[in-house]
Amino acid sequence: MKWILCFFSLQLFSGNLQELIRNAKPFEIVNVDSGVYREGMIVIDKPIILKGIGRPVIDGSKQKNVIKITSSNVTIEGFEIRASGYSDIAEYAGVRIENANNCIVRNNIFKENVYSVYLAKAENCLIENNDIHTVSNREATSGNGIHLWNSKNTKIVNNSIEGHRDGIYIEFSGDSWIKGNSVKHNIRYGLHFMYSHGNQYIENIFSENQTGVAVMYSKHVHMLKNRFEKSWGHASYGLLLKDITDSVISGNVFFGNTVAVLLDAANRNRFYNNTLEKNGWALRILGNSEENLFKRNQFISNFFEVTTNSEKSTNDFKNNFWSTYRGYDLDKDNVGDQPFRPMKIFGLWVAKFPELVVLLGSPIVEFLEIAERVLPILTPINLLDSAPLIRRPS
Amino acid sequence: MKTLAWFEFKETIRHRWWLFYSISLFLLSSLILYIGSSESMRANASLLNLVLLLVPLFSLIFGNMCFCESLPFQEILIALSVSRFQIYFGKLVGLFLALSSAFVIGIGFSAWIFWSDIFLLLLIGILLTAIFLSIAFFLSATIDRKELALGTLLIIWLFFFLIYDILIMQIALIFGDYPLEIPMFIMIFLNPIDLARILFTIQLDLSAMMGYSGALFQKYLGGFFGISIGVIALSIWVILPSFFGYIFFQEKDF
Amino acid sequence: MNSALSIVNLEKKYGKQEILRGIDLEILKSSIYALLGPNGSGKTTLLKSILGIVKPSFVDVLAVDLSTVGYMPQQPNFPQNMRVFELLDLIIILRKKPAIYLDYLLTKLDVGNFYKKFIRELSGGMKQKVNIVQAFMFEQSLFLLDEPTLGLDPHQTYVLKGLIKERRYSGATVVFSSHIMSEVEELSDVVALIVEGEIYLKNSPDTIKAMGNFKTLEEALHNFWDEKI
Repeated sequence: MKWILCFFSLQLFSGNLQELIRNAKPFEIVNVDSGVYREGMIVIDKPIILKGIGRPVIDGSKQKNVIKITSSNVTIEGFEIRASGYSDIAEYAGVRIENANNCIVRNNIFKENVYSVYLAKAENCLIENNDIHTVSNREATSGNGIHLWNSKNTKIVNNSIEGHRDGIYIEFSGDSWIKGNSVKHNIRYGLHFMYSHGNQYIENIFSENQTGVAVMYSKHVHMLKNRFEKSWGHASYGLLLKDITDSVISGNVFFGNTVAVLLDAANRNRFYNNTLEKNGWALRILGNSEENLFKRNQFISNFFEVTTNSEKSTNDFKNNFWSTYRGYDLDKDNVGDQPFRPMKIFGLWVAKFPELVVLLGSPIVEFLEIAERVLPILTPINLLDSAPLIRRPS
Repeated sequence: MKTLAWFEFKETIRHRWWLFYSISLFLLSSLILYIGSSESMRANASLLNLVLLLVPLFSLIFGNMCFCESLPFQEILIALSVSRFQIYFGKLVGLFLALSSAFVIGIGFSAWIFWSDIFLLLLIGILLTAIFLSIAFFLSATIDRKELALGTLLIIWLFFFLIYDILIMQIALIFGDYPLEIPMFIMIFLNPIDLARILFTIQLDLSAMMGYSGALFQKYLGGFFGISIGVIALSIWVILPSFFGYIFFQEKDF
Repeated sequence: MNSALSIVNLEKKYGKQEILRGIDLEILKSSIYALLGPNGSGKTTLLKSILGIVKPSFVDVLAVDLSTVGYMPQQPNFPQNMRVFELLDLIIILRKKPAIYLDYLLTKLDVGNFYKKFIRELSGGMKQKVNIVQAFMFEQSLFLLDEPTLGLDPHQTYVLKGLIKERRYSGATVVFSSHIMSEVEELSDVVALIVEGEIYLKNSPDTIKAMGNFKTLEEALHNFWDEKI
């Protein structure tokens, strides 16, 4: 009976969503029929479930927020939400959730929004199964796919995000759970943490973003089983760690990035079981990064394995597999009998004088490597894997 | 000149060294493509180094050898009132066609077997053949003593292939505090082997690894525009030595 | 003009070494002219200078029509990997003249049985035959032959001498260098003795012999040689 009533009211008020919402009672399910609703600046200020039937389109006509949620316990699902407004001073989104908890944004398509989903001071929200894409040209005039500010305990699951500035941006927000998202072609970072502690991201794919994931000024971040690929360009990184401590990077795959992992003032992090394959540089460790542990990772066919710009290293390498290791294993314990020095003299020079990359592929580089193999003393830095693996760990 | 070039071409492809060159290119490139089939990037880099090593070396030595061997016959040609221009450039063109066809056959055949895309590599190899034949002709025309010419050729090869890169390295290590992009960029153009390599690696998109200093290279040597610039610069490397060689050849006594 | 070739004051230096010093030569049409002299005296350089194969350091007059010259270099070194007929074809194309004597020479010198062989497979004598063919197969008015009988057997030498005489009688001029006095005496109308880059003596063989009542040219020249030293 209620459903019929709803349907009836929908017929009546078709074309005016705001009216529909105004008339809805708290905790009501408001079904919205298919069609194009050209009205932005919709405000949802009561706990309702707004549900699109046959994927209705809400077009904000580039005016401010398309939908702004100011009440807790709001659910939006089944819509196509597009064309939020652009402003130099305000950040307008397809869906903006502000000072509200327990909201759900699910199964929507977001198109051509500056910001798509924006959470400010929101807790316990779920953003799931959304298809979020736009076409941004310039970093300055574009916004983020999913933006969290001061929002705790958010779950971001199985979304697909393309073409924003940052795919997912997380600032002053803790305890997020980010899983199974596919984040591609964003013009700055796929995923970007600022001052956000205790977050986890698992089993995501970051592909062809300028930089896959940038984690900055954060602690206790868990980065597990993600795939970072094809971040290839002048300043591109698979994973950029800036001022990160006590985090775990484990079971990830880094493939085809200019720099797979950059450590800048990153301390006491643990890298386990990652695969770094066909990158320009597998690891770039700046001198201000200390006491990181690298264990059982696989370094395969990278142009440079490890470079650092400091004379000493307190980072520890153990039981990694290096495809360029040429040692032997007489006692057959799958651990090479000589230590491996992943840092080559040419790598060091290139780190200091980037112009030298013009010699990449020159026979002189091969000669240097041979010389180093014969005379290990030529390698300037005491950075070594004392027990390199002979076979790839399974 | 067409007659002479064609004659030279026929004469050269019957040379056993021509066959040796072509077969060794085929075998070595096949070996690289076979071993590196899982790692196309490294295989491409190795293939490039094979071309950068073998093509200049062989073109220099073989060019010098053919030039010296044919001097007595050139007396007859001059007596037939064939101009020295025709003799010199006919021989150069014929040799170039013969050696570059050996190269295309050798590399091309193995690429055909292993389905590798090697258009740019072929282009580079052909240009390097022309450049180093041209240098060989220049030296053969200027230096009369055969052993001296051969020794000089080997030094020149070693210089372009290896010593030049050591110099670049030294310069970077000594003057690393100054901005070096533009000097490096210029230095690259002064060594055809380095220029060829950069052209190739940029097209493989390795310029990303050059960081911001790669931007300059990417801008001027990337894409179709870059290939055009590179081909023009390498063509200058073909024209200048052969032209100066011809000036000496005009006054040469047999 | 009644001369086939005239040279006034031709000099050639390699660095400080003077190979030819002021050579004057006037060679009449329809004559055979022999250049004699010890090794290193400059005979070959003189022939090459006439052809432009060697560039003279200085010359006042060098009048010669190169479009109608047949030249036999000493010790022919043809492209190794070509066949005899391919080589001759090239020369015919470059000469832009019909090779009217080709068949005649091939038969006379017995070239037919190695006509299709590679040059690298030929013996020295065979190569010299090819050398004769390439020089004599056209109708030329001047022949420059650098030690043409070197490496030929007596029969071939005989054939070559016949060719030289034939051409001379049909109006051509032949200049050749040689060490062999008997053939010089037999063939030449004029002999020039070159010593250290200068023409020391220039006359007909008979006149030279008459100058001191010598029986042979060899004897006469030997005598002059001693005098000079």
